Amino acid sequence: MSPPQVGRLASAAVETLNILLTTDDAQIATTPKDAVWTHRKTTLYRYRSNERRHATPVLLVFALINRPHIFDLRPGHSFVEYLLGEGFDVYLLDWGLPGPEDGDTGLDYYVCDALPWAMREVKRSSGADAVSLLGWCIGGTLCTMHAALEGARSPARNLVLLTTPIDTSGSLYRKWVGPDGFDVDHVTDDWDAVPGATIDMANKLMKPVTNLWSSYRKLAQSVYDGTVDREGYQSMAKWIADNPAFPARAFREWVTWLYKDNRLVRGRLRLRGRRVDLARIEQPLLVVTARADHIAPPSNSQPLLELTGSSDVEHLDRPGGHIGLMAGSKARKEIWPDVAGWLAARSEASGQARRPDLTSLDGGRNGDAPAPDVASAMPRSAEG
Amino acid sequence: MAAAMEQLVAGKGFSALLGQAAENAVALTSINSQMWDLVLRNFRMVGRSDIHRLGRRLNGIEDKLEMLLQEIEGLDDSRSASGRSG
Repeated sequence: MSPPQVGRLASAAVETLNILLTTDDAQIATTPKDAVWTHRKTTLYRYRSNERRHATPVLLVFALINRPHIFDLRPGHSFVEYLLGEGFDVYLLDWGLPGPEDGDTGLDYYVCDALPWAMREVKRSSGADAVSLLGWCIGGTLCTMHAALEGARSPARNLVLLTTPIDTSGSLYRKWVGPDGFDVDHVTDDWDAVPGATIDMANKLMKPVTNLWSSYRKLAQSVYDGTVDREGYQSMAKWIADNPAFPARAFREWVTWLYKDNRLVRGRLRLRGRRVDLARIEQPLLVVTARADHIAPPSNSQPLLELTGSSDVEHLDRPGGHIGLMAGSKARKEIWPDVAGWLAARSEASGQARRPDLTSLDGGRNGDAPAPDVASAMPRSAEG
Repeated sequence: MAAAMEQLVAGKGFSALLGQAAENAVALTSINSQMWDLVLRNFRMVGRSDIHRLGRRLNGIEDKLEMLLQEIEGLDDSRSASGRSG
């Protein structure tokens, strides 16, 4: 190895280390927003915009693992920013940072209390009479449970589910925590809140080489080659490392009901005595799956397409992973326009809904619908 | 290599190992937390469990306030409705 090569290698090593050590300084979730409602650790935010054109606001609901900042990762790579640009009134439900004092918080709190209350506040602050729910991962499952409980009574007018586990059979998680192994009661008896780092490590172990070695090797290689996207790496790494705890009761219910017993898809899940019946979902439904998703593979979401009672069901199956699908470098061109277009066509004021052009959507039931008018020109005041 | 590791983690043996490792981690943190709580209590100081108990009570109060707010709003709505019909 020649002296210049040694110098380049040393320089790359120092820069790689610098990127890793300063990851925490990355600015994420910077789109201006205002808190409009809080309860316990839950906060509802409304993003500032003077371009609101669609009548139905969008409520973003993320998982109980990791923070919802992934919706608004960084300027130019923010789904929130994109939706605002498309004229939507965007709200975000942040579950906050649960602690041991929230150990008695169960799934019923999220589905029967926090979510409906947040929708009430969205309606109140926006002046709209309905809300489009967009849930990602566990957030999608919570939205599904809500719609399956409330049916047509729910103020949710549209339902968008991104990489959402519904039928967990065949998943790697089920192999790990399913009926035969993992004593979830032992864990949740002793822990009031399951540490986020523990869940994060389990997630990383699903693809150990990729997550624990390849990502760092690729970073070092890109630094050495001079192609590194410093901001991109740091913003994603910061988001991945931010792991809130999972309230013990909710964790026990999630693992037992969804993974050990697979109750949701079998119609045997009850919340506060009421059956969560997927056939009661009547809202237009968009299910988005990622072909390389190892956390919620497409087979985990697809059964909902048949079980729902909705007559307006679409399915988008795209390349990508659980998070990369919506937050990867290609998302802005390959998936966001489809999601926004689908929502736009169903976000007119009551009685004015139009059907979208679904020729670009995979596996839809309504492929012969007319073309959409995404840039709906419906006038709307800046503050609703 | 990556594929082999993914195959390894998908095995039953790894699932059992992971489950037991998680249980050991839980037991260790629980013993540690109980020990420190005992130390603090003997010094007549507030321990983590006391803080958590207080947090739970605050959660309960917040729930009651939310319910109260909903009741008031319900009354408000019914009063406006009866005002309109009257």
